[in-house]
Amino acid sequence: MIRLPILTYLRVEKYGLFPGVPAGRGIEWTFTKGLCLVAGINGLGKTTLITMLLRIFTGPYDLTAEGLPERLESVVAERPVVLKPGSIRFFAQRVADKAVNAVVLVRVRFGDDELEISRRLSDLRLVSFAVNGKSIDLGANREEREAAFQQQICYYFDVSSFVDVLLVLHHVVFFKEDRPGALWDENAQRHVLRALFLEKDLAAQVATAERRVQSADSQARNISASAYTIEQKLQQARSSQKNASEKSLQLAAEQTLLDAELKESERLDTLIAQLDERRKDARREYERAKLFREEAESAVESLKFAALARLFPTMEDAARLVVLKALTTGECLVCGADTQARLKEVEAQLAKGICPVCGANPEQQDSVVPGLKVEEKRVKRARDTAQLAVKEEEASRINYEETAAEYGSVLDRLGTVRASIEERSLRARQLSAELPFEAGDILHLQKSLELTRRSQRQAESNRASAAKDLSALLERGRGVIEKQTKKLAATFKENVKEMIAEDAELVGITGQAKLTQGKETFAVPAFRSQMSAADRPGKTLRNSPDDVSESQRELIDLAFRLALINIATGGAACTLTMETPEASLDELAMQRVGTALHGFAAHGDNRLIVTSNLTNAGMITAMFGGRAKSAAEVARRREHVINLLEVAAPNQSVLSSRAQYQRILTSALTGKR
Amino acid sequence: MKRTIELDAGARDALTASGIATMRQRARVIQLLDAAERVGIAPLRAGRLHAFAYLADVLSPVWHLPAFEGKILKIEGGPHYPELQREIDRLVVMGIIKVSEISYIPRPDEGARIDGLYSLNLDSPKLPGILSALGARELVDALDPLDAEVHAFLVDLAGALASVPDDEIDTAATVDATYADERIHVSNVIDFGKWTTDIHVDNISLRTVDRFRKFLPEGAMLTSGEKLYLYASFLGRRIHAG
Repeated sequence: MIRLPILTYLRVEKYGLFPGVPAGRGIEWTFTKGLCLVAGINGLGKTTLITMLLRIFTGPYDLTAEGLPERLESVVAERPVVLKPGSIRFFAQRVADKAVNAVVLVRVRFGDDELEISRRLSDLRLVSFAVNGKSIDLGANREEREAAFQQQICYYFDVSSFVDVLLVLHHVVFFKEDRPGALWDENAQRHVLRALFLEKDLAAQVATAERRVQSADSQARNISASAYTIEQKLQQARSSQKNASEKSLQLAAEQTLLDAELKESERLDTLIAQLDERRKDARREYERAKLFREEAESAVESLKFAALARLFPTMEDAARLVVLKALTTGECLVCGADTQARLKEVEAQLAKGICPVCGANPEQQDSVVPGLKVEEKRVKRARDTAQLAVKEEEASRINYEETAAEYGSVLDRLGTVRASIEERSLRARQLSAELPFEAGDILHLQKSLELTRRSQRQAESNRASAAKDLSALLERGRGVIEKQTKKLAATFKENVKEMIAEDAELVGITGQAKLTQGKETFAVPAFRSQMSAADRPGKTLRNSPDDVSESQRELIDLAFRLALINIATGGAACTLTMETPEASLDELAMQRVGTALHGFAAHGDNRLIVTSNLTNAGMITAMFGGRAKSAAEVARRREHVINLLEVAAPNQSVLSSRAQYQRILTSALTGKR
Repeated sequence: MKRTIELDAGARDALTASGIATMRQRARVIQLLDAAERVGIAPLRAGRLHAFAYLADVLSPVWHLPAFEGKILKIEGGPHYPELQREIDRLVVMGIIKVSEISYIPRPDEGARIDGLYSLNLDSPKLPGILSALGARELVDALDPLDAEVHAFLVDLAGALASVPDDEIDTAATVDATYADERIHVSNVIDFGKWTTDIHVDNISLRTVDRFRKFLPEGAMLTSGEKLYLYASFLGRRIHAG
């Protein structure tokens, strides 16, 4: 089972941005369990400090030369990539002395083992590495030292490669404000689930097989492109033959048309694959809408049913059903007419205890109990939901039918094109056979084309074999991840209900990993969030970050990370590092999120490192667990604050308004405004 | 001898795409309830009727019959078809089906679902003609010989399901190999015959039935009916295996 780091100690020495108190002392900090608030206004180095904590693990390496990309590629590299010089000198560029003597040292626990890592801030070079107080010799060569260090870190995280360590750091442990989380990036999610839940050997085999598929695909495509070029040359040679016979002109014309049709067929193939996904999504939404409509209408019926049963205890079930359906949907089950006017009439009759079937007054009825009004508020609410559900069903039906029709029309077109290709190929072969003896260069090109086509077939066979191997490995991994679905969904729900007002949940779906440029995809387990919304009944799937608001995107991602941490580590403690969680939230949302984060920080031996630019004191108070009850408690809270207003080099805002900022911080710690 | 049917204006109007779909659903309900009647498991509760409809759909390839729907939305609590329920309600009002003990079962998100005990109304004067036309009586009376085959299959399946205790028929659908496939999560569509390219890949129930052959002595064969009985007993064991 994966282990996640628990940060215990930090020391930053001789770094100009953090002179410390007294000046020259730098930052020395022990992370105790619970919250650690990095407080400071813009420009004091909050992001710099968090980046130091990240780079102590990664060194001068990352997933790409630019660091974490906005969205991950479909396949991850086998080894980490060296950062570009600008990123390696990130810390040096921020201070006048280029951080020549600056060093960061961190102690971190993995289970019972404590590691101590220190790096130079000027170029991220590894200075020392110790395990349980004992220095480890990693060799003299810089690259070898980093490679040996990475191996050690893989061992302590208990994952298969340092690339997987980087994935976990970026998508689970470090929550930076400018990057979408794994829930919103299907490739990142697939890699993270693999790294977190698959047994190490299988995780490594899957990653390797994915790279093999992509490489074989790329090779097959390159050879195919070469074959295409030779084919073009061959056509040119044929067409440029002097005194070309009528047959060869016809052949050239057929070839041109054939090429155009082959291209069209390829385009339609891709389009069909896309439309197939769309129509499946549309069908799922329509099926769900139908069910929801039925259940919403039945909810109205059930309320009316109770009232009818009281009013007319001896009414037959079938008659009751007719009245109920008419009352609920306005539809007459007897003749099928839509009679909204009659619906109102029947409702009015019922309110007066008049029999809706024969029109008898209460005094004319043999078995009547006093007229009871249906609980109007509940019925209204249920009917509003049912009306929305009917609209939703209609909209999803139209979408489904349109998508299915589009799919059908493209499929027809593809069928026509394929038939034409077959016919034209046959004609071209016949014409080719009728041509006179070819010139030497044409023969040479033909042989060359034949050889290239043979290589192409071999490459395609390699690709198919790599794809088959990968499918088998993915199938093995699928069961492992799907077993976690229920636990992840339950933990997610528990977390998210504290953070957002909408009713949200995590659902497992079968995702399609697209690793090649062709239409082929691989089925993989994936997760999406499903949420209620103001203008729609029921819950709908949110597939991309654009389907939710900015704050919902971050909070759903946070809930997903917390669920991943909990399930992947089996509930073990860890450190979560979060940058300015208040950035996109309103006042009330901040309170809720602050309380949820307090829940995480207060659990077991967890550590939560959060930066704040003091724009919302309420959230800080909530993260500390609400208003302080005593001066001693405020003092204890201060022991959990790295106060950059004091330990960082002051900028102009701090120099002119330090006392006011300190008051804001104090107010946040006490909870008194 | 080929029979021709004269359509009156009303019948011609009903032959729109949605009209035909409605008639198909009604015919299916009547065939299902007639099959249940013949093996003595009628009346059926709504949940059992939908479970029977689902199992009939997913197991139809065992009799080399086309699937009725070929897909279903997987939901908590087992199979349920809104369109089928709508036609059940209409048939009740038409007097073709009898219902008693109507009640409403709560569903998530403050929804509800109708429940009741359903059976054919054998007193209905229209019913004998309908059953004959649907192939539920004599083969020669069936408008379409395939309907008679479908009816025979439904009777056989109902007989197989009758071997499962009454209160377990609806549970049987939830443990069916296709419905219980863990790769398809709740709220997703299970496609076992609608848009699939290979029914033997996507219909896991059919694959399971096919595997029974392995346990037979060499040369022995199972009839389609025996396969259904074996599958029903397999479902019974699965229910108790948890």
